[in-house]
Amino acid sequence: MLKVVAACGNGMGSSQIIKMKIEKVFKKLGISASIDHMSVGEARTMASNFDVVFCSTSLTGQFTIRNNRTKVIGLINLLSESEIEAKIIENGLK
Amino acid sequence: MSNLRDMLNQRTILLQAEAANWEEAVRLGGKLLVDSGAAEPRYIESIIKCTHELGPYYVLAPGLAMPHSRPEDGVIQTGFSLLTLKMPVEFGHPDNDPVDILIFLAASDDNSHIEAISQVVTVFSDDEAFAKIRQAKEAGEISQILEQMID
Repeated sequence: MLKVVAACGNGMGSSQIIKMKIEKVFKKLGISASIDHMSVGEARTMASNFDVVFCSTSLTGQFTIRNNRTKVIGLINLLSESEIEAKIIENGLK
Repeated sequence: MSNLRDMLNQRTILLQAEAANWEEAVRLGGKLLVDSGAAEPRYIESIIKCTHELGPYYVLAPGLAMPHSRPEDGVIQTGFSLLTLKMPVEFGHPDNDPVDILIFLAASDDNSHIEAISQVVTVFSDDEAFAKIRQAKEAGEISQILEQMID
């Protein structure tokens, strides 16, 4: 089971939207994942516990993860399921 | 159960407004939240401060922003306001600038706004509704769009 976190500036609002959208896409692609959501500050300290971090492209710079496991995926349009799907496939998660 | 349709009305909608920059836009739409009793003025200051610190973390899609901060930053009760601009403004987002639709959110706790947010997602994920909202001139048009999309 993939461990996923949706991160945003305040831990509610946008991370909720990201979580909602990635849940739909993971389900559609048949990928089993547990999806958390939190603020970028919290996600930063816990990032290496996750397989994937999703956040807005404006926040990807906040993550400086030095391991081979955790992928940080920046999303341009948080409402676009096709972008999420493309990036999931692009990052070899499917 | 929070309903977006109930929270967006004549008092919380301002369309085709003018703002010189993002800060002015946030204050203009934020004032609607404050006047409707959803948030204290410090909530708006918090959004602006966080934007300076973190960047425009709430720009969701090309042209669309959802300014918000944390419950403890001055939320009184869950509420939304909608501001559209005649001329879009730059928020400094790497991809989604400029912005001309701002849907403001004040959430009193982690759960109360979930239903309303999923309604925001439903409405703005629809290209046609998005375009209609962008061009709307009267609050009544917004109510009609929401009515058609949310049941």
